[in-house]
Amino acid sequence: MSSRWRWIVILGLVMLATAGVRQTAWADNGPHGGYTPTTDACAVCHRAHTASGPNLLVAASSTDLCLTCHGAAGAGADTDVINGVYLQRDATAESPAEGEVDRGLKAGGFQYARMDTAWNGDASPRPVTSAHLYDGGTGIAWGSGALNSGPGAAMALSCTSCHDPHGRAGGGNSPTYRILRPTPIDSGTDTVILADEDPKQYTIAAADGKYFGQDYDGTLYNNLAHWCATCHDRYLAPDDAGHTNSGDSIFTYRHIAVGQGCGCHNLHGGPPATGNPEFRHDPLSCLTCHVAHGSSAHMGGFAAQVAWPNRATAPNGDARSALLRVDNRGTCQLCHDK
Amino acid sequence: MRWIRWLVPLLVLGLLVALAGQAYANGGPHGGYTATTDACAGCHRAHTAQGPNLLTAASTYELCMSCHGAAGTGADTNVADGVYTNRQGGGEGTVNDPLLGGGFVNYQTVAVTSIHDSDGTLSAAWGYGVARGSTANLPGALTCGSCHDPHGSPNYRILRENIAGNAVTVDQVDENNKNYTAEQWPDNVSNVCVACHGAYHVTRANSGEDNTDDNAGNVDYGGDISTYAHRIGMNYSYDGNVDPEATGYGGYTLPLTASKNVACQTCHLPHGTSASMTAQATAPFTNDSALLRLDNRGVCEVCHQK
Repeated sequence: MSSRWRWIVILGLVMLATAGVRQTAWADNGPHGGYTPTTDACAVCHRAHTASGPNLLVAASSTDLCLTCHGAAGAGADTDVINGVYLQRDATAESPAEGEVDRGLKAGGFQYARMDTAWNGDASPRPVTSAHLYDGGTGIAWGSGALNSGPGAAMALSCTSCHDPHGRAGGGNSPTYRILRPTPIDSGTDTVILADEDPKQYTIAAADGKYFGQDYDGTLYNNLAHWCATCHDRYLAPDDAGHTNSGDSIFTYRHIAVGQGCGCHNLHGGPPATGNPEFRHDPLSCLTCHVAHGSSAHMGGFAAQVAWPNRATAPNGDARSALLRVDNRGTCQLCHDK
Repeated sequence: MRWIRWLVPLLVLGLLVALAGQAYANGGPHGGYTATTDACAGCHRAHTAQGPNLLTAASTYELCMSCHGAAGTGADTNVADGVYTNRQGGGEGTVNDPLLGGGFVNYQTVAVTSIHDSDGTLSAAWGYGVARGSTANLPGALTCGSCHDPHGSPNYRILRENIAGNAVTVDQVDENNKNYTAEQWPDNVSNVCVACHGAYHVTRANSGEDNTDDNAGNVDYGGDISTYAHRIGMNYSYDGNVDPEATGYGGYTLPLTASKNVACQTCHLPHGTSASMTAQATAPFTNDSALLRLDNRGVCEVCHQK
């Protein structure tokens, strides 16, 4: 091998090694993980002697801190989770791009969302009608706990209940999808490690703002359902749960929440002839019908009057939108095509 | 040729209008769904269902009765008492008049004497692939949903397009202006009965005297020539009978189809009857009123007037 070729090979190996290191280091993104012994990242969120909030945070609460970057007025991240939109506002020009600018985030938003929930081509920003709590408030985690343990347990939720700001939450210092904790705080003992997405893509694929029919990696999709069930245990239903009594007095018969639904087809002698061919063979997950942060879906008619799992009938109307991706029961109709 | 350019869009528009009409044909939560329909939530829960098929009630029968039962509030048609009400505003029939299908608990304020079981307790039907006078098991237990498709249907009264494995077509006759209390039966309404009671579907002329084997399956004799049977599908005037619908006998009348033909429903009420059977009319099954519209054999006499 000539001296020239030797250098080319060495240079190639160095580039390859560097690429690998860089990819891992950026897996969790920004100040969230991938720390070296001499990292500067701690100083982004913490002060050792002049902290404004518990855990030596630079803001009064963890949510306030998160929103300094990810809020509507934040400048530290492209993901504006309040308005549910991807922007190009931080100092990093990601390559490849991690989302389409001005397009809705996959999770929706906490106060506004750019979702065409009416399925009419209008994805302009609208106030959300339901959202996961993110400000430390307490709500009921519907379906948490074992069979016949009631409608669900009260649980306080903030951003960090689900997300681990220090990243590398996957055990063995491995990154997780959206820095999600394997065991959300106060969720119990179930552990679900979600492999990180590489490259990241924060926005929905549909340019028209239609959130239903989003494609996810199959394994991730499956595991995400199990992850949701770390809090909402009794919603995790297999493909025969619509015809099988679970034994629970509230969550008695349940729609499949994870898997392919082949069992349903077998029970009915094949896929429904009238089923929507666009979606009927897709695997199912909680995220098939629901977004994670918040939805602007409207509820009217029967859909607005559905009682809550604890039998309460209020609040109703749009407040009953349950983070659904489509108005009313569009998520049913778009698959079942009745 | 410019007119052809306009013809295609016009035809497409016409088709869309026609389809739109069909979509609204069934009413209430039963059909005509848009991509963002709320109707699913009328009957189903994705995670907190109390019955199979994700129903909000423990069974199909209970769910249907939550709207259409005596205590239901979701529909004007109280099929338990066989009466039209105005609890949802009325407008599609005469309030307090009997429903065309009869009742499952009462009919004309009298307790029923025979009904089509609809609560999942019966799974056999007379003449279902067997001779008249015999029963055979249906594919499943009989419920409201066995005959009616809650998700809508192009058939009259959301009757299923397939019942017990047999294709069913029953023309809609009043979809755009429903009337649940005025007799107006489609000419092919007997098809819904035939799906389960095929051996009773006798259309051969002079069937009361001619049950000879046609060596082609005797389709016009319900496939069963082991006995003789009354014919249906013919005009009421066959054999010189008077019009049972317009003329009747002794104040009693019987309905005919749109073309003045005799159908199963001319003599029988689909849901249930309070007709009383005495003496000879109780044979061969004690006190079985067989969903007949009139006491004893009034249904014979109104036409034949012997």
